[in-house]
Amino acid sequence: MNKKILKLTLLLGIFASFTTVVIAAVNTVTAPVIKENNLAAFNATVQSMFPTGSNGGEYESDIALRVVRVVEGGETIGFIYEQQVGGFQGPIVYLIGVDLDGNFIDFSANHSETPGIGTVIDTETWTDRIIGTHATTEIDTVAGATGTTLPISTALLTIYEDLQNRR
Amino acid sequence: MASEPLKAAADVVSAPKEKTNYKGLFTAGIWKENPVFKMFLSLCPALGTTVSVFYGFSMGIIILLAVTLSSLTVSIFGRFIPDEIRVPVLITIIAGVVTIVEMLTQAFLPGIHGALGAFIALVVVNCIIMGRAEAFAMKNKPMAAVADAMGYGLGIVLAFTIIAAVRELLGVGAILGIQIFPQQFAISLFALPMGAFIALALILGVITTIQLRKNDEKLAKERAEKAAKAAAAKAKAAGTPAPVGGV
Repeated sequence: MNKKILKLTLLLGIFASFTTVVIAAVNTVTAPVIKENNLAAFNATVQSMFPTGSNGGEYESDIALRVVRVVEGGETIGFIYEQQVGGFQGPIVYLIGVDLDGNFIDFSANHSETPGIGTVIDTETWTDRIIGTHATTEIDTVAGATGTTLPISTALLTIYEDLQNRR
Repeated sequence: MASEPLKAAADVVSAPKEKTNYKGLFTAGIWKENPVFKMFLSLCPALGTTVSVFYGFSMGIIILLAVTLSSLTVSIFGRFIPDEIRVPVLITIIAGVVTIVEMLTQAFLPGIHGALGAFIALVVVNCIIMGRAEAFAMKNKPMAAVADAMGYGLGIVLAFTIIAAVRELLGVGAILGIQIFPQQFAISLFALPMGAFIALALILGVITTIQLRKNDEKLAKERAEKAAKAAAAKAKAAGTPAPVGGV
């Protein structure tokens, strides 16, 4: 009986180890590609938000997944906050650019919100409410897409205090 | 564990010495035993990811890859898996395959990965993958397992695309992002999770109506043939010529 249990355990261990080795092998191929893709996408967003700026380093923050300092000629010209909130259809990860005075520069989101409803955050209906607004101002939600826009509006209000500590 | 439809495809290769009917295996899952429309499996992603044709089709392709690779792996190693640890080993294999598919999607199709999010990881618990692995792949050769899994996978792609097309058209007024009619005339309910149930019910209603009509026609034809045969036999017994044209 004990011998049989040992044999089955060993066999299960072999299958688990084999699967782990295959996953590790695939990861060695995909991990650099994923990292490169993320960096390229992020740098493209930095360029679109601050055309004359470049990535000046990342910081950790309690209110964001990461905060990136944007520099131009060695001088800080703004920050990009990457925040994540729970949307209507799942997590929404977005980048929001903010200048040193606390004005929002641009907004760009990655999400799987409902087409025709939650996807309003990709349109000017939503971005026009954000761009140029001061970080202390509460952004109006979009009627019919409250489940998507309210969490973002609430999270944006946390940025100004964090920005005070970084300037 | 496996239902009757799940076992049906296994019967195609039940006799080991007979030539394997790959065409029969491949086509069974596409429509006759469609996982979503006929067996009501994979309903979670069918309702959750079919907000647009692009997402529905993409999710279908991911499940197709996962079910095919899982069945292939299980059929290769099936003979080494004792019955006592069958389920944990199958789960390990399926979880491994889905993780690999997810990593490849994230690396080479980042747009799809970002849009489908957690639903890709949830493919691990998709009933059709475990169902095909246990009911068919464990007992059959790799080629047959691949033909069977690809058929069921394509059935899922077909079903997801149809559901997504109905939802995108009725919910947003577009197909593949191309506006068919103005969005203000669309019923946004269909773009919501609740609308997915209604869209699926509508599609199943249409499929069932067509199926019932076909069955009725078949039954009427059989009855007519039976009656014609009976009339012919009666006429033969009476010594008169049979009526032409049946009943």
